[in-house]
Amino acid sequence: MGRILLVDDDPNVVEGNVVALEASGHTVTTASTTSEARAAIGRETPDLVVLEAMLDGATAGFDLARSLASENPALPLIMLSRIDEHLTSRERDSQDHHDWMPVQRFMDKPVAPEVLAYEVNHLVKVIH
Amino acid sequence: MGSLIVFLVAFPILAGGVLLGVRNGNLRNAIVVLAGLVVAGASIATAVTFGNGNAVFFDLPNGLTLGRSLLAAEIAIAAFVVVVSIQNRRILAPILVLGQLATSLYLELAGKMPEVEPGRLFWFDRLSVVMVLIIGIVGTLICVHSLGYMRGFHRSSPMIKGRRTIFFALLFVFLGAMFGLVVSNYLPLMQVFWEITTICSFLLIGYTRTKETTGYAFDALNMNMLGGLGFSIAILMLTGQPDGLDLAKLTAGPATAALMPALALLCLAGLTKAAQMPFSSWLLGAMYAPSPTSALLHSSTMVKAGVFLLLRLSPAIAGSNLGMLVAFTGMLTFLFVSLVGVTEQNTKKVLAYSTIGSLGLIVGCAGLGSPELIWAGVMIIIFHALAKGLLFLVVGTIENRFYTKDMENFDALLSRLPKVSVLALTGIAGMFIAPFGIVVAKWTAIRAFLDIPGWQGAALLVIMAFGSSLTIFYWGKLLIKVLAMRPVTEHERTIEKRVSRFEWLAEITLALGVIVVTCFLGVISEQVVGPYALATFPDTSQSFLHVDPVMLATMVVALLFLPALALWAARHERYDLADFYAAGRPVTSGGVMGMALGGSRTVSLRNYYLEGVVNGRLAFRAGSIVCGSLLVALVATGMVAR
Repeated sequence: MGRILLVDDDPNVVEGNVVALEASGHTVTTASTTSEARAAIGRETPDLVVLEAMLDGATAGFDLARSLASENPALPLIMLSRIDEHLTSRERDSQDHHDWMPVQRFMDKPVAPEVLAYEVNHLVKVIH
Repeated sequence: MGSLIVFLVAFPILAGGVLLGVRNGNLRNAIVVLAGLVVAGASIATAVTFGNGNAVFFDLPNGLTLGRSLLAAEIAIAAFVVVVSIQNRRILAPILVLGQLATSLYLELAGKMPEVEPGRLFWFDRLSVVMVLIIGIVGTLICVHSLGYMRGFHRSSPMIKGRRTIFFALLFVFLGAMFGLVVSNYLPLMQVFWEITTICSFLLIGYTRTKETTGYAFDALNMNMLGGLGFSIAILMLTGQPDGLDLAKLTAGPATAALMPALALLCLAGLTKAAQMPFSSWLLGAMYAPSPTSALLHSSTMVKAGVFLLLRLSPAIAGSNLGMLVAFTGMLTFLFVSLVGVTEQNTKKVLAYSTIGSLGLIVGCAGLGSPELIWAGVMIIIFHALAKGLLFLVVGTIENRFYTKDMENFDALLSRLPKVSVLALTGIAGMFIAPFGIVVAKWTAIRAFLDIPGWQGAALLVIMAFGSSLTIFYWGKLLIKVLAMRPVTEHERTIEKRVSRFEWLAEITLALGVIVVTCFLGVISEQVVGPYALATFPDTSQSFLHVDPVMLATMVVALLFLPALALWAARHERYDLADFYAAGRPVTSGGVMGMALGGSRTVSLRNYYLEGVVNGRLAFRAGSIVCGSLLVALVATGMVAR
């Protein structure tokens, strides 16, 4: 299937997701910071990137997503995030317009690993 | 009455027009809620004005006439379909729609279209009351729910271009058209509303405008347009008959042989709209539309237009071969889709199969036609609209939190979303547990099947028994998923707080609706459904279910005690919850186990999708072939009868 880059600093989340994605036949590379992620992409462009919004101790995931989207618009991105906990409902409500984040899917954690695998399979199939 | 009906049709369409220009989210919320309140209020006012009276017929108020407006509407619909089809390189839909337009143009230009008899444009009776209340109240709640749902929908899929102005406009235009459909007596008028609902459905299924959803939208359009063409040809045939286009007169009693071909084509239109086999696939594709659309169009109202027409036709076709073929098409559809539903893991599709099955039961009741069966059919319409509408909304809410429709991921809902799970429980109970209306209706239908002489009665009884047991299987499965518990993290507990107030408002009101309507089942039976059934099939010996509301309320409360207890248990964990034990090397929780030679697998201790036992796809195909053959026989019978 596809080469997936998983960017998350929570080892428990990474472990579950790697198992589920590998079980679906993907090759998974992991990174826990934005610089690691950039280095991994520099070595080999993945087919899809799954990333957390809260990286490097702040919301660096948003910036990473924006720059990846502008550098490589064809690269599908899925964002898994715990940012929800830090938002008021008004702030959350404002995140519902087109292109508020340049990602294919934005999902508040917890996301079941099988659900992530399903979304990844779907997007990878679309590319191929 | 005339002014109220015109208001019911025109106001939602106007509100839809206004919403088309509203881009501000808060303003849209306010307009949708206010317009919804007006629509619901007007539908209640119409029902109250009507009282318990007999059928009334009336025209447009203030001497207004239709003029050429129906033809204009048909030309507009045809033009729209042709343009969209050319844009998407589709061929079938334009052929079907131009066929429809050609018959209308021919009738109009050749001067063969009979004028409406004064005072008989609209027909309002107890069945209209039921439908108007469902459309007004359930419809409004679903529109309000959409305000919350669509927010979550777009937040999680930021690349999908927001077309919420069109989305809400379509919902309201649809409500207006639906009101018009259920009060029309003049068939060409009904057909125009019929086509508008088809177009709304097409646009809503294709909301995201991806290749996939556009394909499903065209599937739905093609099949509904095929039914629409049947409708048009039926009208063409009926123009040659005295009072042929007056639905009430047409269906006042058993039809003559000369009317059979046209009636067969009208039945075909009803069967396509109600997604009966072999036309069921469009409703499954329609599940790719946003969930409130599935709740409103593809469960509570639009698909009911198909069975509404068949119930209307019932007195004309009952007792004929045509009626029997219609009944068997519906009942066999019920049996086959119930079987396929057992093998399905996508919850929305399970709900869709169950919807097709319930509609099949109503089709069965309408085809056979007797006071008891009409009673059962209308009761299923009422309870299905409430319970299934609720379930689709609940699944939408869950989908927006868990990002999945897979039943396996709905596990332990009671621990994760306790309040939502109680709402789900109410909806599921409403579909298959006594004393909720659908079970009572099924019981009544079984009693009526016993009175049918010959092998047909026995066959219908067997179909009902096997079909119903299969539905119990999938509802039970879903119930277990919803009621299961497991340990949850603190973070998981916060998920339910993200459910918007619009979603809560709609879902709680609908759940209360299921309960209240059940408590008043006896009253509804005596005041509305029973008299309607007896007016349709006069039979003085018939008496209808008389149930003490207190007894029903007691049964409902007893049933609700269970979820209340479950909710309490979910809040106060007085015991340890643990994952199941499996001897092996667990990789993560949830039964993912390492294998001896590397890799991992999710351990599963269940096969309640009957994998390897029932081939869902094969069963679906078999059902389509069987019902398709019946359909050919149905149309042929109509022609031969002539």
